[in-house]
Amino acid sequence: MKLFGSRYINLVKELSIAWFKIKDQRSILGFLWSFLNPLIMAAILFFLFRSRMSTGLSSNYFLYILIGTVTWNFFVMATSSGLTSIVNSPDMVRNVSFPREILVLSSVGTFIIQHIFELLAVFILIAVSGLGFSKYAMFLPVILIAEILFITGLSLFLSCICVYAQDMRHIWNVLTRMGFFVVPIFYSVSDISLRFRMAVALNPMSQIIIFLRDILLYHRLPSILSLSLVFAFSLLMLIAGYKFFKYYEHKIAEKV
Amino acid sequence: MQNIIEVHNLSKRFILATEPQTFFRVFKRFITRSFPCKEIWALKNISFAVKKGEKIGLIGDNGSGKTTLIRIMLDIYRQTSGSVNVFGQATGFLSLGIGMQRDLSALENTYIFGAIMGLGKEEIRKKLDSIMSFSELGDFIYCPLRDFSTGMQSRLAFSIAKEADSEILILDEILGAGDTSFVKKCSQVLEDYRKSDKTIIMASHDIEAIGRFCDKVLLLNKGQQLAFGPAGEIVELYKAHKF
Repeated sequence: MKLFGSRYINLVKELSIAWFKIKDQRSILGFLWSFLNPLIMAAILFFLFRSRMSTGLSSNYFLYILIGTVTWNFFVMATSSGLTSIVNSPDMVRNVSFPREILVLSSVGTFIIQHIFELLAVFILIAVSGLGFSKYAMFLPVILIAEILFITGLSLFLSCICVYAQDMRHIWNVLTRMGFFVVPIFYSVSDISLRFRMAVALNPMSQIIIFLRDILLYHRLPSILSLSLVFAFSLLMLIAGYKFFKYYEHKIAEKV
Repeated sequence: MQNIIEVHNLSKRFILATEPQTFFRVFKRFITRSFPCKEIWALKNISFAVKKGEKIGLIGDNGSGKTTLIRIMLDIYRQTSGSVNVFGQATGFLSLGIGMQRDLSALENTYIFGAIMGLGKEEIRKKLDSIMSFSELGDFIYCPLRDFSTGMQSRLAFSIAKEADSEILILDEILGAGDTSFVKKCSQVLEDYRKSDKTIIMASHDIEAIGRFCDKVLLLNKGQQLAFGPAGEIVELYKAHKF
């Protein structure tokens, strides 16, 4: 498959790193600025809900929310930048012969780099809080890979649609804002009524946040069945997104 | 000599939307299967063949389809009908400095643009001295690109692009950037290309340069192939037709 040629892997790497450097103005402070967003969100939610939610009684409620906001923030940032990756690089799309999915992969890659730094910051907070780590932390790569497959697949769909429908970025902006409440970031699935529970639980991002809390906060094995399902679903999403993208690839070059 | 590029009966139609595209309009059209649009034939029935090592010129007025033809040969656009076969690795220089980031240094941009031109990290590292001496940027290589003049940026981009080692090179109007001495250097590179066994396709409005550089010329007008043959002949034809 063309995608895996070393020439193109190098290009994804160069672009991801270049865009990451620009995004954060190449400084530690720059990274802190972008980490501040999920951090402040977590702090606000913590003070709002710590006495109102049943989960708020747990001693690690702040970390509970932070894992949610960091993961959700990664999802929103990566899909939003994947969405605009094609329309923001018309010069490259029209003038260079290369697999166009490279642009989508690179812009998601930019946020993978950032997410890794954010997770390191979360680990430091976990260590400082005295919670420590268990052997179940070794599931982290599997969960992250599932999450990245899902985000990349979704971004491949979105980037293509955005070429045809220019208001897609506004629609996605609204959808992700609503999505924030359909994912158990500051509440737990057991807090909500049965009617909504399915909508929340069937969402792969909810499951990913739940897995992360299982391994990082509760030091227990995540449900292997759910994890396998989410992984399989994410893989399907990537394959479907890739096929969709490849089908429209040449038309994109004319439209963008 | 066998053919390295074969274009047969190539046509390209563009479909242009006549109204701004929004999600719900696109969705509605997708459901109802009605697409209000305008058709434009950018190329019609183009046929020619290029042998290995030949230098081919593409000439024609603006909008005659030169760039569209080049994009189809590079597999950026797909043709509506007909066939295009390119036997070998083709690299296109359609516009210099694509993908370069103004906030990063010239050195970092060398790696980015190099990667876009298909060069690996190692290859660029090996060729870095030659790139830097050719571009004559000296100490500026650590400066962010935004502090560069347009001419300096093109110089850097050209220096990197010339390292792309493909057997087929397709150039679209890339000459004429930079000061006199740099233009002279670029011509020297083209002269070296001319003597090499690379296959080159070059679109340009500089008719004299095309006449000097190319073996054969393809003359396009409004998407139609007017003539394809020896450079001198076709250039005269174009001049007569035009002036």
